[in-house]
Amino acid sequence: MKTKNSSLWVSGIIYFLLSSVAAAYDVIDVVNGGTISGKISFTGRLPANPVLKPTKNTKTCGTTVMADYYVGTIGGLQNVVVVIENIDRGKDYEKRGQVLVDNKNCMFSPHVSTAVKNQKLALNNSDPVLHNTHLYFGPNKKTMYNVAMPLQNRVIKKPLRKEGIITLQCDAHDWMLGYVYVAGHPYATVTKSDGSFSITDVPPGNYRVKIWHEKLGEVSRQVKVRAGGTAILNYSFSNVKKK
Amino acid sequence: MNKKCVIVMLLLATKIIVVQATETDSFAEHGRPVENDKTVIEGRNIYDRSCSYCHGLTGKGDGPVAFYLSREIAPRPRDFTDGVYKFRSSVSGDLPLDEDLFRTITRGINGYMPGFSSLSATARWKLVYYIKSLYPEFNDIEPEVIKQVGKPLPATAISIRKGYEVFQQFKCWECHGRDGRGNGEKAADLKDDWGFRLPPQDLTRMDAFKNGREPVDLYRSIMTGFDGSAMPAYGDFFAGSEDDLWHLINYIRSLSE
Repeated sequence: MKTKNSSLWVSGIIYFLLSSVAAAYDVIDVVNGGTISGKISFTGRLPANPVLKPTKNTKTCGTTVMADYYVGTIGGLQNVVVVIENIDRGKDYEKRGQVLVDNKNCMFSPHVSTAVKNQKLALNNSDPVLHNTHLYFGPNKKTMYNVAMPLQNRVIKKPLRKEGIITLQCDAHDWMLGYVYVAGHPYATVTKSDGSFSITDVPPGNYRVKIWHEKLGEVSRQVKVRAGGTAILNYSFSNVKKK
Repeated sequence: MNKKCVIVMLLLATKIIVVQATETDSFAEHGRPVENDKTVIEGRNIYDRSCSYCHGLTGKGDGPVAFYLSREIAPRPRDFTDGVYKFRSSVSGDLPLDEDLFRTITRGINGYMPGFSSLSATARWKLVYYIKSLYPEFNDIEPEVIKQVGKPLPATAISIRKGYEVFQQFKCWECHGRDGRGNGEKAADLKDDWGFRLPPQDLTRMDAFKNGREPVDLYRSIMTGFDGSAMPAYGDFFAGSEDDLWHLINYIRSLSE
């Protein structure tokens, strides 16, 4: 897609202005930047993941599949996106970088990942069966694209043009679920299995940090980052968000 | 009626079909008006008369007839405010070209939507402009077009055989079934974006091809996929080996001959 050389040049200029506002991230030399780190956890026992029973491709997918919505060890919660919401300048990143998501054993691996806008999403199919990777954008889940993955181990790359949460599904295996969080900057990460995370080289300042989990919802917290210092951000989800 | 008369009539009928099939390319462009506020409003008037019964007065696919057509089964009449289109020449996720919308309006959709070739080409273009006005992104973004590489190959036994191998290799059978009857292992629970069950097509039926049954139609369908449904785009996998796709098309067409 490219911007159309429209005769409606006024709307063109407005569009340009809007898009440049949205894409405003300046790369600067971050000297003596700070770190935001901490642990995202769950109070009490983690909710049980549903157990699903595949009826197709059972040779590859198995006869039972455990969903991976709630994962974590020692009280930590894995697969939580932690992202700075209001940052418009900071460290450099790989502009031609890519995020690899594999279709493996009829699951998306990794389950949750982050990317920077205009990086590429690389898709692979490690399974000997037909998958299709159907991407939906935003909370309303509007189709972004739907790619067939018929051949094993052939990586195809697709652009990530919009900031926001992308849901990955496979029409052929309806339990498959994955997420890619596309941010306008490189200050986004996903928690490890113990719930820990770390965002480095943050220019000193006050930030609003979003914490997002696919089932438990999202919260925002204010964080003050000092030069060379480490700001601790801990958060504990407590109950399942009712839908 | 004697035999000769029947033959002449058949020939005439074929000619009409041929004329209809090629109309999108030549005659249609001839009658194409400029796209501006005036033609959009004129398009709206035609839309209100011809399309609103199914697609709704606001274009949300919720006209009074839509309710009876398919309250709980797919495909429902398109919601033009949503910007998701099945029949395109553009890559999956992009909007259709004007020509795509014109083609669908002209031909209709087998078994679902009537063709509107009885409207003048100019009127159909105005409809295209009005439908686009219901989704403002049409103004901002130029779709990435899938260009046709190569051309239809003669449907020889060898080509059909090769196409059968491609059908196996690219696992079309997992949804469409080993014999193409739409009864593959994965067929049972496929749904569209709106949660309605939408099974894969039975490729042995002549009327299965909603986006057209000509080789160039199938080329478009397979390369771009049908956005909003489970049918994915194969564009990335056939790029550079388009002849395989032309063989596959010959095989698919052979199933419904």
